[in-house]
Order: sequence, then C-alpha cells, then structure tokens
Amino acid sequence: MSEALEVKNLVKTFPVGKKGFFSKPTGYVHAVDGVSLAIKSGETLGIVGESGCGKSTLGRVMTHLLPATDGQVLLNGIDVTNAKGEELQKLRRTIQMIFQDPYSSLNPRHTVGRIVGMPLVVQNINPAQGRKKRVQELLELVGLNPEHYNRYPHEFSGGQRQRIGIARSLALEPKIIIADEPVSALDVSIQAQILNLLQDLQKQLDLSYVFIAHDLSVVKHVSDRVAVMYLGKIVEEAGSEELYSNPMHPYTLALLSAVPEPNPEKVRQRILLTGDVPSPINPPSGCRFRTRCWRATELCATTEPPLVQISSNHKVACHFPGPTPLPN
Amino acid sequence: MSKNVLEVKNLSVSFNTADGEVHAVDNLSFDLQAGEVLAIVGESGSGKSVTASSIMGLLTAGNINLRGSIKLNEFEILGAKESEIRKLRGSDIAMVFQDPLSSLNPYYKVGVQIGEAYETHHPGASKEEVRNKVIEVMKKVGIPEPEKRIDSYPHEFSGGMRQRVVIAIALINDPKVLIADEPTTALDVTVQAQILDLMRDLQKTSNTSIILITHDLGVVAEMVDRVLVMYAGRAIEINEVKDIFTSPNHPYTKGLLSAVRSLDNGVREKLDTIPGTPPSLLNIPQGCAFNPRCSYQKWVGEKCLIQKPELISVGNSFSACYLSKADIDRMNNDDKPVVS
Repeated sequence: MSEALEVKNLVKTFPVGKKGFFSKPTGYVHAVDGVSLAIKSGETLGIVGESGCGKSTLGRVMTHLLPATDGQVLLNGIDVTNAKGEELQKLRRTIQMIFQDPYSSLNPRHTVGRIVGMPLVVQNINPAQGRKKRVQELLELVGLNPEHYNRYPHEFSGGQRQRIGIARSLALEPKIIIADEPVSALDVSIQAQILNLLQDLQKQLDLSYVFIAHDLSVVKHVSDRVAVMYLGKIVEEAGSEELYSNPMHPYTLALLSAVPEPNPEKVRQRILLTGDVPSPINPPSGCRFRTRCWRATELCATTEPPLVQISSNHKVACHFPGPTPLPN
Repeated sequence: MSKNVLEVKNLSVSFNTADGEVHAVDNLSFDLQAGEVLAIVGESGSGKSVTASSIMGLLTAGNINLRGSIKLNEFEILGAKESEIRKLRGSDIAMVFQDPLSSLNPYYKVGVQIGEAYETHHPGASKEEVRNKVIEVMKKVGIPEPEKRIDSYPHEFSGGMRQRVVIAIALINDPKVLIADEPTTALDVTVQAQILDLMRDLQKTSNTSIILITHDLGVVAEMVDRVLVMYAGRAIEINEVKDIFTSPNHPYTKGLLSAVRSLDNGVREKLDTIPGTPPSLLNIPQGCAFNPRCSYQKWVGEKCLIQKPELISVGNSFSACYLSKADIDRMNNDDKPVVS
C-alpha cells in the first residue's frame, strides 16, 4: 500500500497576547509540535486525545484549512505544504472534511441540494448526468431519501444532518476524508448508525480516513491504526489490535482505564490521573506528560523522550514504557 | 425497604407551541429512596431534562401544562407557591447542570457563588461563618488550596475544576436529593473519571440520594443502583442496574445496550444499531411509541400499533411492553423474529 497522505515534523503555533497591531505576541500556543504521521490508502488512522491536545488543529492543517507553521504535508509523495490557488483547489478534490457539529456546519438558509451540490459548483464540475442527479445519488448513498433535495437542514434530525455533511464531503469523490469527532454530538443509537455508514462507504469507495476523537472506544470500531496525542505531540502510535491489547505509554493506559465500562459486574482497576492538561503556551520541560505521570523521574524533567519504534507495528515516546508499573 | 424521599406520580408535562402541543413527559411515575442513586437514561428529546426541571419546580411559564404529583418528603411541589419552593431549592434539593462554563457567572468569584447558596438559606450567617463553610465544601469536592482558590474567577479554573465548583454549590446545604443532569458530558474522559469518582465518594459519605441523568450507559454501570429508561416522554423500563445489563425487559433497552461501545468489542467490529430515529414529540406514533423502530413487534402483533403499553411489573422490575416473559427471554438469547 502506498502512503496517501503524510505529514513530516508538522508544527502549528498560534500567537497569543498581542496587544496592538504592531506589537509582538507575548507567547505562542504550541498546538501541534513536531508531528509525523502517514496514512496509507484505504486505511483508517485514529487520532485520540483530550481537548487541547492539538488533534483538531492537526486535522485542519492536513486539509489546508490552516497553514502549517513548519514541516511538510505530502500528498501521494508530492509536497503540498504551501499549495495555493489552482493547486490548492485541485487538492481539495482529494481531501475533504467531516465536521463535528451537524448543526453549525450546515447553512440553515440553503436547501440540502444546494449544500451537497456546493462543492461541484465551487470546483466547476458538471457531471454528465447533471448536478441534481449527482446530488440525489449522493443522498441515496448516505441513506437519505433523494426526494428530500429541496428540504432545509432544520427539517432533519441530528443523525440525518450528519449524513448530509458526509454526502457533501463525498461530492468530489475524494480519496482521503478527515473526520473530526463526527459522532460525538449524536445520540448513542445514532452514533452506531453513522459509524457503520462510514465503514460501508470506506469499503465501497476505497477511502482513507483520518478519524479524530476523544473516545478510545469509538476509535476502536473504525481504525486500523491509532495515534495517541498529548499536548501537541504523538506519545504512542500502533496498529489497533496492538494498541488495545498492549498499551505502553502511561497516558494511553490512563485513557483506556477511564473509558466507562457498560458492565456493572466487571470491576476494572482505574488509573485516576491527578490534575488537568497543562497549558500548551508553556508546556512542561522534558516529557510533557510528566506532571501527571506516576512513573516520572528526574530524567523525564530534563530529557524529552523521542518517539521510538519498539516493534514493527508500535512506536512509543516514553522513558519507561510498558504495561506496568501502575499507580497505587 | 428504606423511606422514599421523592415520589413522582403520573407526571405529565406538555408545552403549547406554535406548531402544536409538545408532549415532553407522559404519565411518568417513579420513586427515589434515601441514599439511592437512580439513573434516568434516554436519548435527546426523551423527556429526561424536563422531568428534572419539573422536580426542581423550574417550569412555571404560561405555556406549560403540568399534571400529576411530585412529592419531596411529603411536600407537594406541583402547585406550591414559588416562595415555598425557593426554600427547598438549594437546601433540600439541588441540581448540577451539564455545562459548568455556562452555569457559573463569569463576573463573580467562585467563593461568592458558592457562599451565596449558603447565605440564601442561612440569612443570619456571619461573613466568617460563610467563608469557613465555603472552604470546607471546596475541600470536600477536591479543589486544591481552597483558601487561595476561593478568590479566583471561573475562567481561572479548568473544566473539571469548574464542575467541582458547581458540585460544591449544590452540596453546601447538604441536600437530601441531588439531581445531576449530564454532569460529565462536557468533560474529557480522564476528568470524567475524576468527577464520577468524586460523586461516588460524596454519595457514600453523605447519604444523599442522587438522580443521575445521562445518555451514557457506561457511566450508569459504574455508579447507580437502579435505572429508569425513558423513550418519547414515557418510562419504558425500570430495573436494577445489575439486571438491566444482562437481561433487559424492553426491546429499546436491549437496542441501546447493543449500540453502546465497549473496549471489549473487537477492532473494526460493526455495532448493532436501532434503525430509524426517535419520534418527534409533536407527532408521537400511535400505540407503543417505539413500534416503528422495534424488530420484536412481530411476536406481539397488532396490539403494539393500537394501544400504548402501560408500565407493568415483570419479576422485580417494570416494563412497558407487550412481550411475554418467555418472549423477553428469547430476545435476550438473541433470538429475533424473521424479517420477511
């Protein structure tokens, strides 16, 4: 399999504390800080982390909704980091995005037909069978009634709206879809429907997904590979089977143990992390997780652990990786 | 059996809107015992939050029709004077809301906001007494360095700490009943685990009864005694937590359970889903509200389409479904009607 999308040492910072137009910023939020990842074609890569870890920023830099501060974005091996104008427009045909909130991501004044057909208009694509016919095909593909072409978003439920968003992202027949928390705003029974739909579409259309979520149990259902992020860095990356059966980084262990288990009989040892995620403006020295880590030593405060390959299918950034020791 | 602190009987709530009457809660009855944790589970629009608001006596606008009875320690809340409800609210019964950011006032120090709840119910309290009480309750909910943090503003707190402040406000008068409306939905998983742990501890030490409103069955499994499942404004099942996960009585509960993700499931495993979407409360289906989405209706027949099933006892639990006990057992053995 070839690498469809690759990012190398990607950095994205946001200036903060600018008082006036000519003043210099007082600091930078290091949202994404040296991330390297590759997505093979037809594969799903899950990106997991808590709010503020930079997972959404990463997704937006990958889709060129935000410019990268440093590093490279490669599409099929071609550097597209600084794509502009025509080149960027072409690129949008390959990478599309599904957003989290199906309420704010659809224009309430546009009909479903106009929303789903908009990418065709913007890209000036005229399908042989006509735009309307193509939009109706798309609606059918995501499980909506094609006769709802002239309806408005408010006439649909949350799950149906998310299907409209998915139809729009498929309009240009992209190869890669970045889905940023596509189910977290939906009800449980509807989440399952959307997750299954995404899987079916992947098989049918040979799509690659980058699936961004905060919930490890959601990611497990869709991903071939999972990357765990903490404060702008990848702390662990592995094949799904490997990550869930053999987690190595203490943060991954804590995240896994925090997932509520829908089974009252099963008592699981829970790792309770103390405190909150530190500020990304002024991240801790050395390992960024050390302020909440029970394994942290002097070494962790002085030296940042690199992301190292520990087996063919597993990378971890920790000085003391392994399933144990657990906190008392 | 311990004493009931809260009894809800035949509660119906509807709203008159421009589009017609919205039946948010329909003939709901349940009780809450002292020291018990009861979960109300359901999808959006199932009536869980409206139930909570009516128990708190918050539904008073002109377009609301309330029927039935809500008794808190023998005191009837429905129809009581606002001044009387005010005495209860914040002292005997308190509420924790979903979003800690919007439930705190950004202009006031957290100490003032926590103290306000105490002062309101203890009008003669001295400043020092209030301050000491606030520090004590902040300590109880696990806010570090309360002597310093008492003078901070909400924006200086993280999401998890803000939710602790909201819980402190709710707990300062040692309420008998605490209603927590999706208390962890807006929080990160690791912080959610901290808050659930805190609520469990507080419940054990203070013997407060808790109504936990949630859509997350994982949270339910970890902290409640009994579960009330709502669908389209009606209670469709009331069951002990240990039974509801192994042998649910209602097809909807069964469907919800199989749609829940667990880390036990395999990588890239497909989930079972409930087809369709919850009904609009303006236009609730005739008969059982769940019938258009139910795959077990075949075993029962026409009845589901005509008459609403009442909540009746099945063994130790309650269910609003026409399935016989034998059919419920078949359902739980993953037997399904043949789709023709």
